[in-house]
Amino acid sequence: MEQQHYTRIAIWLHWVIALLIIGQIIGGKVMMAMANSPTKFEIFQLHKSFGLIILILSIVRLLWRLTHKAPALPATMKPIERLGAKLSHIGFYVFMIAAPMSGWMMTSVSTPKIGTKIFKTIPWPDFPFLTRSEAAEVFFKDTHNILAIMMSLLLLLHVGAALKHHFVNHDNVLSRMLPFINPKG
Amino acid sequence: MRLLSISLAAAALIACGSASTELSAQAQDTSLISAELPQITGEYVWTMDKKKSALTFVANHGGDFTGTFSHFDAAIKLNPNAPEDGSIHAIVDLSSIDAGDSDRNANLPLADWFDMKLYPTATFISNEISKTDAGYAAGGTLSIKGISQDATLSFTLTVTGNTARAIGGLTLDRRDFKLGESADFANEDWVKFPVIVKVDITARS
Repeated sequence: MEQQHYTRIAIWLHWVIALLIIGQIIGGKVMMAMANSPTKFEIFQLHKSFGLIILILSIVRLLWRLTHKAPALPATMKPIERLGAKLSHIGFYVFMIAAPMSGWMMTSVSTPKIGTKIFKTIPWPDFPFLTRSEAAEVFFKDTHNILAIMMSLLLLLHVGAALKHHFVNHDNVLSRMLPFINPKG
Repeated sequence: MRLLSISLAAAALIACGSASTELSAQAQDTSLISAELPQITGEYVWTMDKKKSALTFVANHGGDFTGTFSHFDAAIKLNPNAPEDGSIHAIVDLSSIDAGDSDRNANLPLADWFDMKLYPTATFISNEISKTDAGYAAGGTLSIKGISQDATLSFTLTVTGNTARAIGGLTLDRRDFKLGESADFANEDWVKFPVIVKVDITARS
């Protein structure tokens, strides 16, 4: 029988990364609006830590996805819908890796030089081959912002599509990614 | 300038090498910066005991913190009873700074702060030492990052036999020396403007 749901690992990676991304988008907006203070500095360091966690988990997830077949889409879906689903998922992988990567690059070129330690413990290097300058910092800051905005829009589309599949089409597209309800992963 | 200081230091080392072993051991402890100080002789000339002398500062970066310069020296001539004839010439190897935090230590050598490649040392040269109610005041010129400003170092002096201990300091405004020149540090959001510099010098005559 055709597999009806994602593997347990894929499901957990999906939801953990999803929560982290939503937290990062909201946290990023909030911290940018804050007045400079030691608290703001600490929030920036947390944002960097969570961003790197997302980067690592997303690479693991991509490797997992490339080595584990995803469940088939419902037979009722039109080719254009299948293409849309495929493209949006590829888009997520691009953003999940590119957004934290651009943040890491921003931190690596920024003046002042602020070291990165994941949760103040694990030291993280600067991105190689980059030179610190204010112009480079502005470039990566803009890139990071644009990627975050694009990912937010894709997120809305993704949630909307999942809900439509579940409540309008009554297919298994949402349930195949829900934890706890599947008998085995 | 660097070449000059290296050759001066080399000359100093060679000169000391012909003296007693004790002196040459002291010379090894003496850095290139000491060679940039004037050679003074005569009465009331004090030789700084580097092991018993400290140069520290208190600044505020998300809270007060204390930093140190481990490498500095001073040529001091001071008669406690006639301070007006005295002189103080101090030099600090800025690269010996430890601000107690890796981010601070990574940024302080950069152009935004001390720009140590261009300005490796800071100096204080007195032009007038006088007695005050509390102790002494050495008015002079403080030079950091190629900028010279008038400054007054206040200190108390305790002389025991041939040993003198001076404790004091001065407060500076980091903007006067373009310390933190980028927009990030143009206000006091991250780093406050005042910096208290403290000295605790033990010297022997």
